[in-house]
Amino acid sequence: MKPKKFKIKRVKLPGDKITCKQVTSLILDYLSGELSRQQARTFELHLFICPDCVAFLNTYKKTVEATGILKYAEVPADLRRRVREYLKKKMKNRPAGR
Amino acid sequence: VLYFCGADFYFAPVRMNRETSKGSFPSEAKSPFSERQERMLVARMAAGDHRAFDAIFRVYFNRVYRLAYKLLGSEPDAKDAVQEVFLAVYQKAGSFRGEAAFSTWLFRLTTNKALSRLRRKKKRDEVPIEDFLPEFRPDGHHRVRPVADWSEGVYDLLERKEFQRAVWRAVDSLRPADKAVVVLSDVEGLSNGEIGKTLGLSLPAVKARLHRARLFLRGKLAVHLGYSPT
Repeated sequence: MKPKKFKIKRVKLPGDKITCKQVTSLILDYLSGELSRQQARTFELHLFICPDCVAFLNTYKKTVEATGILKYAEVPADLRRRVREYLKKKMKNRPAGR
Repeated sequence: VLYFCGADFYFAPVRMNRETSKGSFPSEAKSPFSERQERMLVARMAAGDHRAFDAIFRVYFNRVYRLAYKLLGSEPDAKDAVQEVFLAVYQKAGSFRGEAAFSTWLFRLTTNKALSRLRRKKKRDEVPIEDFLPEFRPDGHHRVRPVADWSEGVYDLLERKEFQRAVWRAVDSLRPADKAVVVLSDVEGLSNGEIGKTLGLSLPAVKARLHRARLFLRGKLAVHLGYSPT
């Protein structure tokens, strides 16, 4: 008699309602607080069971933070004077806009 | 709120898009002029008063340059854009209607001048965006697992010049419109609605571009740190 085959079925968890792909597409709205309460809950339930999406979200947030370093652009010394001299020459020949 | 997930912790969502009342150089200090004073200065400028132009130039030069530099990524390009902007301010002063603050008008003028320069520039630095976007299996899971969490060491990295250069390079390799959206959102702190008004894009278009650009930047930084972009 052949032994009976058992199919292993993975138990569905609440976080399985959405996939990693769907979670990724919702990150922007999640971070700006634009998801509905239900959507945010589904999103967070997925994070609860998916360390990959937690890592992805953390690195996404760090990327936004890293981009913020562009804030500190230095103005070269003497540039203002050079631009002002250029403009003086140009403005001599052109009337102001009316 | 601190949540627990396996060995990782993450925080509840925070509003990352700071709401600003105007799109007027939000990352910079406020103008010393009141809106009324600025309107008067612009009116005098339109009448050919060079001293009024000088006052505007002195106050706004650094802000215009910094914004142009962030968008163009090079000093000569930013300098040319600044010259174009102030020349346009002088010549078009009469077309300023005063419906928005002068600084908002100047902010939009700078963004659009920089963006048109960016579009004219040779596209040698652009890389296929798809190479750095996340990939998924047919069942919707991440294709490369586990996803590496390199966010922990970034605080120290942000101080390093070499990492800062990598961020600049990554932002520079975005397409012009995507770059403008990222700079206006994540550097200047404009809301998505204000970005839409400045660049003439719908709100869904701004959000789609911003998300895609951030995913691309994330992929580029991951590769720089030695991880898979996906």
